[in-house]
Amino acid sequence: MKNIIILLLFVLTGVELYASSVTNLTTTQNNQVKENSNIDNSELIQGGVKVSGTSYINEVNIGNEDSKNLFQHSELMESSSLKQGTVDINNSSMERSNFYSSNEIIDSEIKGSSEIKQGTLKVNGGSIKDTTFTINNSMERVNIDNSRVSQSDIEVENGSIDNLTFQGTHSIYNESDAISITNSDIVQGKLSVNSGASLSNSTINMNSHINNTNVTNASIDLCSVYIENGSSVNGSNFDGECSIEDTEVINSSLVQGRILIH
Amino acid sequence: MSQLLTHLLKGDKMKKLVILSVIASFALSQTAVTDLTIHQENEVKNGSQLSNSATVSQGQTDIKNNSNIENVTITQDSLIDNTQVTGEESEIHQGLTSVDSSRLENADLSSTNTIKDVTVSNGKSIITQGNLIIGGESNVTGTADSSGGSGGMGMGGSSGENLDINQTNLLEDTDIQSSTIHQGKITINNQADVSISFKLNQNNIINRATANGTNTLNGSQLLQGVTNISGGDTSDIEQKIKNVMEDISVDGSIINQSSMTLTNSTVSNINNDTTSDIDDKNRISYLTATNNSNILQSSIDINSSTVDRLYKSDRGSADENRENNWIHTVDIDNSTIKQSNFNAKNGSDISNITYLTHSSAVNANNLIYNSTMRNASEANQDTTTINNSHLENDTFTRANTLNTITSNNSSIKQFNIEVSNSTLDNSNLSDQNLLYSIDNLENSHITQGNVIISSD
Repeated sequence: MKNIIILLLFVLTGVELYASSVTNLTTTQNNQVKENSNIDNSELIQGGVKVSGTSYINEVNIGNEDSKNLFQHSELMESSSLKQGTVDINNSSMERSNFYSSNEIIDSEIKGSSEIKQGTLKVNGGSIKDTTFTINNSMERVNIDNSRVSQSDIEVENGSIDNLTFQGTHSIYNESDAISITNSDIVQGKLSVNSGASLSNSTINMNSHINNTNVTNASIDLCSVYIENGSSVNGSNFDGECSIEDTEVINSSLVQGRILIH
Repeated sequence: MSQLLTHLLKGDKMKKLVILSVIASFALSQTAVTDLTIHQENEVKNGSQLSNSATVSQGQTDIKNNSNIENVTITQDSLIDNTQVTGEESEIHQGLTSVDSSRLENADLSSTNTIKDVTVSNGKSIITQGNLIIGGESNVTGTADSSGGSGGMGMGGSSGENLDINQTNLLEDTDIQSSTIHQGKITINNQADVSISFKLNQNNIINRATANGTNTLNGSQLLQGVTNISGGDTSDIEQKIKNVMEDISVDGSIINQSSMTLTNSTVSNINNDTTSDIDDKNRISYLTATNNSNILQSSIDINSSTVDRLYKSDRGSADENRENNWIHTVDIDNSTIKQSNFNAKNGSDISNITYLTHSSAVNANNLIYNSTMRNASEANQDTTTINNSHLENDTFTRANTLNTITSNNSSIKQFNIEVSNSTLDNSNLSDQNLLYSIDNLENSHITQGNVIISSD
């Protein structure tokens, strides 16, 4: 049985329409896991927000510049999952809210079919309107093997987003010895609008950076836009800036700025 | 919509679910992307390395599966700088765009694709920049013969209206061995309906940034600004394409700049025009070509097609030499140069073609200068072959010059026309041909202004 560790996860659920309603909420978060903590076959959530069951969120401010989710000097292994600053909207509505999260993984090892999500937004039913996200994700001196990393991905699985402002900055880097990414999938700043979903009047800025890294047998996808048939996208701007520097790419796929409308 | 939903939510819960489901189903019934602006900057730089089948794709755009796109602006800047590529079968694709079985209307697609200070060694690689494919053809992934060369555009099973496409494809200070490089290839195929204003501006450049820079290319296929139309009904296309290659050596290879191939197509009102604001349109300089290499500039091949109102001009911006179709300081050994060849065959029906270079050979647009030909090499300027076809109301005004040439055991042809089993009605063919300062001509064969008409 997978262990579950939750640090300041907001879970707002309801069984009927608008069974839960949250207005004028302001929070500041500082979540840390560090110093030789080994996460083995477990799920770790730091600063996550999950809204489900036809809940209604209005004028909620989650996090500020003093908020941080930190995973340091630790290991994630054996099909473990680490989520930092993730926001999941499930059959609920959110309006006039602001999210800020700073998510950091430093001096750590990620391996064994583990998964990391930093600052991702997923809407599966329901809506987001007039809401702002400011997300900073970084992985410094982190070796990644046989795992999956998602930073600042926006996925509209179903439902609608209107007048969203999303600023995502994400980096994987090291300033001294090169870090290693092997047999893994890395996705930064990806926008997905799936069938049945809509995105309108929104501004999305993604800034991706990978530096001083050895990438072997891996897949990297930066700043891409995927729009599926049956969706509606209008009046929106997507600005992606993604750079890879001083990086060795061996037998791997590197995709920057892919646009797929299908 | 939100007011409607709010109203619905005040009603009976079961009704709400049913009505919401109906609304959701209606919303799902069509794909619509409108008023979308995407700007992307993609960079790989600062000592990065690609090896062992590594694939890099920057700014790839695919629109397919009956998508309906209106009022879309996509701006993509892709850069690979100071990077080394080693090992077998690496691929670099920049700005590769395809539209398949979809509708694209009022689209403005701009891309700047730059590969600078890049070394490709120890293996065969594929480099494409700025491809656009609209139609049933797949993108270039691992194959060199797709239209997905740089700047390629293919249209089939799709439709486009009011498309503005601007591309700059640049290779600068590169050292690339045994590789395939496509810049600016356009393919329209598979029953594509391309009409109502499709404008393409394209700069395809392979050069050195500075006098101290290096730019060594040894390619198997170098394509710039090539247009292929196959199947379908294509009309109203305006192209402005500039192609430059400098400091290149090829061995058993093909270089093709700004050629057009029409196969099994109905084509009308195509304007391939460089008279207004683009000079130095097709320029190759400091080239060494050996072992049956072929160098093509501004050729037109029409096969089993109906063509009406095709305008292709290489005159440049003013009434003087603008160095279009200009080959300077090349050394060809057992290889062929073809400039402005026109071929029609297999029942093609061609009317109202205007095909222009400069009217004076002194300021010729087809120019081969300061070059050496040897060992069964050929230089063909304006070689026209019409077989089993019909031409009417056509105007060819052509001019060709070879200046300061050394030719040994080679062949030179200027404005040769061969008409077989075909009809020409109301055609106006004018040519000026000049051989100038031929320093050394040994065992060579030269023809100027020959017309050969035959029937079986």
